[in-house]
Amino acid sequence: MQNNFKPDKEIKFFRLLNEKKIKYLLIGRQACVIYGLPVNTFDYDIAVDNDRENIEKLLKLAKEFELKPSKSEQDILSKKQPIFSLQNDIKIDVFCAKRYGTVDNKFIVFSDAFEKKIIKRDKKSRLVFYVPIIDDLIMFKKINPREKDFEDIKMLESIKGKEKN
Amino acid sequence: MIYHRFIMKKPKITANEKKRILENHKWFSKFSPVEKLKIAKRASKFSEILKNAK
Repeated sequence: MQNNFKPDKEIKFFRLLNEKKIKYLLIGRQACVIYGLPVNTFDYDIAVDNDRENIEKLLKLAKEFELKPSKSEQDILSKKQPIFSLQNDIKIDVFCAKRYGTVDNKFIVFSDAFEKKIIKRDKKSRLVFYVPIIDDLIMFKKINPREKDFEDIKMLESIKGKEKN
Repeated sequence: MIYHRFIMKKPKITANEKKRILENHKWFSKFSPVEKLKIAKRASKFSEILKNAK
C-alpha cells in the first residue's frame, strides 16, 4: 500500500535529528503528550548532549531549516548559553547543559537521562522519538518551572502512580 | 476562571514565567492569522503522531 503521508517541517526536522545521530531527548509538553497527558503546545523542547560535535550538528541542521538561534553561535558553542531557541515558523527551545539544577535543589544529568531513555516509534510517519523516563521528565519540568509545568508534574505523578499499581 | 478576592488568590506570575510568556508571545505575534492557523494545525498534527507513538 502506498504511504500518502506528507511530512511537515517539524516531522522532517525530527527525522533528520535521528538520521544525523544527534543525541537529544524530547522534553516539555510534547513529551507529556507521549505519556498520554491531554495538553497541547505550539513549541518544541529538546535537551541535547552538550558535546561540541553534537551541538555543531544541531546548528548545521537548524541552518538547513532556516531556524535562527536566539543566541550567537559562538556563545552556544562555548557553552555560555545553557538554553536557547531555534526559530522561524517553528520554535524549538534547546537545553544544552551537561546538568541542570531543579527547584527542589536536585540535579538532572543529560547523559544519565539519555542512557535511561525510552524510544517511541510512529509507524505512519516513520518517526522515532527519544523521550526521558517519566521520573527524568518530571525533573526536566522542574528546571525552570512555570505554573503550567506544576500542573503537568501533578498529572505525570498520577500516571506514574497508575503504572506502579 | 473567576478569582474571588476572599476565596482564592490569583496565582502569582514569576519573573521567569513572565519572560517566557512574553518570548512566546513575541514569536507568535509576528505571524499573520493564516500563518498562525497553519502553525496550530501542524502542531496538532505533530501531537497526533506523538499520541500514536508506541
